[in-house]
Amino acid sequence: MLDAQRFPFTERLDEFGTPDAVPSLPLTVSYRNNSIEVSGLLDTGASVNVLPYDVGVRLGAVWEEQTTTVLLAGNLAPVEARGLVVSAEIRPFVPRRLVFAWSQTNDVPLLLGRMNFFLEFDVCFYRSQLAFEVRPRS
Amino acid sequence: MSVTELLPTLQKLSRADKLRVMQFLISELAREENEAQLEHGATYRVWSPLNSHEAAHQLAKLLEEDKKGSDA
Repeated sequence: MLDAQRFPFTERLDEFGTPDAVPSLPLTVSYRNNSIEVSGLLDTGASVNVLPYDVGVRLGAVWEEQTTTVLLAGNLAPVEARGLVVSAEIRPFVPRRLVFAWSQTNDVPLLLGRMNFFLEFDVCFYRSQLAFEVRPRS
Repeated sequence: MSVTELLPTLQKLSRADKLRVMQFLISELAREENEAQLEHGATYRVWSPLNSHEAAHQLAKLLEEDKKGSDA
Protein backbone atom coordinates (compact mmCIF):
# COMPACT_ATOMS: atom_id res chain seq x y z
CA MET A 1 0.00 0.00 0.00
CA LEU A 2 1.21 3.50 -0.85
CA ASP A 3 2.16 5.81 2.00
CA ALA A 4 -0.25 8.63 2.69
CA GLN A 5 0.88 12.16 1.99
CA ARG A 6 0.23 14.66 4.78
CA PHE A 7 -0.92 18.23 4.05
CA PRO A 8 -1.56 21.17 6.39
CA PHE A 9 -4.95 22.84 6.71
CA THR A 10 -4.90 26.36 5.26
CA GLU A 11 -5.38 28.87 8.04
CA ARG A 12 -7.13 32.16 7.32
CA LEU A 13 -9.50 34.70 8.83
CA ASP A 14 -13.15 34.46 7.85
CA GLU A 15 -15.22 37.54 6.97
CA PHE A 16 -15.84 38.21 10.69
CA GLY A 17 -12.12 38.11 11.47
CA THR A 18 -12.42 34.76 13.21
CA PRO A 19 -9.56 32.31 12.60
CA ASP A 20 -10.62 29.47 10.32
CA ALA A 21 -8.81 26.47 8.85
CA VAL A 22 -9.81 24.66 5.67
CA PRO A 23 -8.59 21.41 4.09
CA SER A 24 -7.26 22.82 0.84
CA LEU A 25 -5.29 20.41 -1.33
CA PRO A 26 -2.59 21.62 -3.76
CA LEU A 27 -2.73 19.80 -7.10
CA THR A 28 -1.73 20.22 -10.73
CA VAL A 29 -4.55 19.89 -13.26
CA SER A 30 -3.81 19.25 -16.93
CA TYR A 31 -5.98 19.35 -20.03
CA ARG A 32 -4.52 18.68 -23.46
CA ASN A 33 -1.16 20.54 -23.34
CA ASN A 34 -1.94 22.96 -20.53
CA SER A 35 -1.17 22.49 -16.83
CA ILE A 36 -1.89 24.78 -13.91
CA GLU A 37 -1.37 24.67 -10.17
CA VAL A 38 -4.56 25.01 -8.15
CA SER A 39 -5.94 24.32 -4.69
CA GLY A 40 -9.05 22.21 -4.20
CA LEU A 41 -11.33 22.27 -1.19
CA LEU A 42 -11.94 18.74 0.10
CA ASP A 43 -15.73 18.64 0.31
CA THR A 44 -17.32 15.36 1.35
CA GLY A 45 -20.71 17.09 1.10
CA ALA A 46 -20.36 17.66 -2.63
CA SER A 47 -21.81 15.00 -4.93
CA VAL A 48 -19.38 16.04 -7.67
CA ASN A 49 -16.11 17.86 -8.26
CA VAL A 50 -16.69 21.49 -9.28
CA LEU A 51 -14.34 23.59 -11.42
CA PRO A 52 -14.63 27.41 -11.48
CA TYR A 53 -15.08 28.83 -14.98
CA ASP A 54 -11.75 30.68 -15.15
CA VAL A 55 -9.77 27.56 -14.25
CA GLY A 56 -11.30 25.72 -17.22
CA VAL A 57 -10.51 28.66 -19.50
CA ARG A 58 -6.91 28.78 -18.24
CA LEU A 59 -6.66 25.08 -19.06
CA GLY A 60 -7.68 25.84 -22.64
CA ALA A 61 -11.07 24.14 -22.42
CA VAL A 62 -13.75 25.53 -24.73
CA TRP A 63 -17.23 25.78 -23.23
CA GLU A 64 -19.03 25.07 -26.50
CA GLU A 65 -17.02 21.87 -27.04
CA GLN A 66 -18.20 20.29 -23.79
CA THR A 67 -21.44 18.54 -24.61
CA THR A 68 -22.32 16.94 -21.25
CA THR A 69 -24.65 19.31 -19.43
CA VAL A 70 -25.02 18.74 -15.69
CA LEU A 71 -27.48 20.16 -13.17
CA LEU A 72 -26.10 21.20 -9.80
CA ALA A 73 -27.91 21.56 -6.49
CA GLY A 74 -27.58 23.89 -3.49
CA ASN A 75 -26.20 27.40 -3.99
CA LEU A 76 -25.00 26.29 -7.43
CA ALA A 77 -28.47 25.31 -8.68
CA PRO A 78 -28.85 28.43 -10.89
CA VAL A 79 -25.40 27.96 -12.43
CA GLU A 80 -24.97 26.14 -15.74
CA ALA A 81 -22.30 23.44 -15.71
CA ARG A 82 -20.73 21.05 -18.20
CA GLY A 83 -18.66 17.91 -17.72
CA LEU A 84 -14.89 18.15 -18.19
CA VAL A 85 -12.35 15.37 -17.68
CA VAL A 86 -8.84 16.46 -16.69
CA SER A 87 -5.68 14.85 -15.39
CA ALA A 88 -4.88 15.72 -11.79
CA GLU A 89 -1.54 15.20 -10.09
CA ILE A 90 -1.23 15.23 -6.32
CA ARG A 91 2.43 14.88 -5.62
CA PRO A 92 4.05 12.44 -5.01
CA PHE A 93 1.35 10.22 -6.57
CA VAL A 94 0.88 9.42 -10.24
CA PRO A 95 -1.77 11.53 -12.03
CA ARG A 96 -5.42 10.37 -11.97
CA ARG A 97 -8.35 11.28 -14.21
CA LEU A 98 -10.81 13.55 -12.42
CA VAL A 99 -14.14 14.56 -13.86
CA PHE A 100 -15.46 18.04 -13.02
CA ALA A 101 -18.70 19.90 -13.30
CA TRP A 102 -17.18 22.94 -15.03
CA SER A 103 -19.41 25.73 -13.78
CA GLN A 104 -20.11 28.99 -15.55
CA THR A 105 -19.15 31.07 -12.52
CA ASN A 106 -15.97 32.15 -10.79
CA ASP A 107 -17.77 32.73 -7.51
CA VAL A 108 -17.14 29.20 -6.31
CA PRO A 109 -14.02 27.44 -5.01
CA LEU A 110 -12.61 24.43 -6.80
CA LEU A 111 -14.42 21.62 -4.97
CA LEU A 112 -13.18 18.06 -4.72
CA GLY A 113 -16.25 15.91 -4.11
CA ARG A 114 -17.51 12.36 -4.13
CA MET A 115 -17.66 11.92 -7.95
CA ASN A 116 -14.89 11.23 -8.44
CA PHE A 117 -12.19 12.60 -6.11
CA PHE A 118 -13.31 10.51 -3.14
CA LEU A 119 -13.57 7.46 -5.40
CA GLU A 120 -9.92 7.88 -6.34
CA PHE A 121 -8.42 8.95 -3.02
CA ASP A 122 -8.80 8.05 0.64
CA VAL A 123 -8.55 10.97 3.03
CA CYS A 124 -8.11 11.19 6.80
CA PHE A 125 -8.77 14.48 8.57
CA TYR A 126 -6.90 15.44 11.77
CA ARG A 127 -8.47 18.82 12.52
CA SER A 128 -6.93 19.08 16.00
CA GLN A 129 -3.50 18.75 14.35
CA LEU A 130 -4.49 21.08 11.47
CA ALA A 131 -3.55 18.37 9.01
CA PHE A 132 -5.04 15.79 6.66
CA GLU A 133 -3.64 12.80 4.83
CA VAL A 134 -4.35 11.68 1.27
CA ARG A 135 -3.65 8.30 -0.30
CA PRO A 136 -4.70 6.95 -3.73
CA ARG A 137 -7.13 4.05 -3.59
CA SER A 138 -5.39 0.73 -3.92
CA MET B 1 -7.15 12.58 34.95
CA SER B 2 -10.29 13.73 36.79
CA VAL B 3 -10.80 17.17 38.34
CA THR B 4 -10.73 15.57 41.82
CA GLU B 5 -7.26 14.22 41.10
CA LEU B 6 -6.15 17.46 39.50
CA LEU B 7 -7.13 19.88 42.28
CA PRO B 8 -4.54 18.77 44.90
CA THR B 9 -1.82 19.12 42.24
CA LEU B 10 -3.00 22.60 41.33
CA GLN B 11 -3.08 23.56 45.02
CA LYS B 12 0.65 22.84 45.26
CA LEU B 13 1.52 25.27 42.47
CA SER B 14 3.13 28.63 43.15
CA ARG B 15 1.01 31.76 42.89
CA ALA B 16 2.59 32.60 39.52
CA ASP B 17 1.85 29.16 38.11
CA LYS B 18 -1.73 29.29 39.41
CA LEU B 19 -2.17 32.54 37.51
CA ARG B 20 -0.72 30.96 34.39
CA VAL B 21 -3.16 28.05 34.67
CA MET B 22 -6.02 30.54 35.08
CA GLN B 23 -4.93 32.46 32.00
CA PHE B 24 -4.65 29.22 30.04
CA LEU B 25 -8.17 28.10 30.99
CA ILE B 26 -9.67 31.52 30.25
CA SER B 27 -8.08 31.61 26.80
CA GLU B 28 -9.18 28.01 26.11
CA LEU B 29 -12.78 28.83 27.04
CA ALA B 30 -12.73 32.00 24.93
CA ARG B 31 -11.31 30.09 21.97
CA GLU B 32 -13.91 27.32 22.22
CA GLU B 33 -16.79 29.78 22.51
CA ASN B 34 -15.47 31.81 19.61
CA GLU B 35 -15.17 28.72 17.43
CA ALA B 36 -18.69 27.60 18.22
CA GLN B 37 -20.21 31.01 17.59
CA LEU B 38 -22.43 31.80 14.63
CA GLU B 39 -23.28 35.39 13.86
CA HIS B 40 -26.98 36.23 14.16
CA GLY B 41 -28.45 37.13 10.79
CA ALA B 42 -25.21 36.43 8.91
CA THR B 43 -25.10 34.66 5.56
CA TYR B 44 -22.97 31.53 5.46
CA ARG B 45 -22.49 30.27 1.92
CA VAL B 46 -22.49 26.52 1.44
CA TRP B 47 -21.36 25.70 -2.07
CA SER B 48 -21.57 21.92 -1.77
CA PRO B 49 -23.86 20.53 -4.47
CA LEU B 50 -25.05 17.95 -1.94
CA ASN B 51 -27.73 16.00 -3.77
CA SER B 52 -26.59 16.35 -7.36
CA HIS B 53 -27.12 12.66 -8.03
CA GLU B 54 -28.04 13.14 -11.67
CA ALA B 55 -24.92 15.26 -12.23
CA ALA B 56 -22.79 12.57 -10.57
CA HIS B 57 -24.35 9.92 -12.83
CA GLN B 58 -23.72 11.98 -15.97
CA LEU B 59 -20.12 12.71 -14.99
CA ALA B 60 -19.52 9.02 -14.27
CA LYS B 61 -20.72 8.23 -17.79
CA LEU B 62 -18.47 10.95 -19.24
CA LEU B 63 -15.50 9.55 -17.32
CA GLU B 64 -16.22 6.06 -18.62
CA GLU B 65 -16.45 7.33 -22.22
CA ASP B 66 -13.21 9.26 -21.76
CA LYS B 67 -11.51 6.14 -20.41
CA LYS B 68 -12.70 4.09 -23.41
CA GLY B 69 -11.38 6.82 -25.73
CA SER B 70 -8.00 6.82 -23.96
CA ASP B 71 -7.72 3.02 -24.08
CA ALA B 72 -8.67 2.79 -27.77
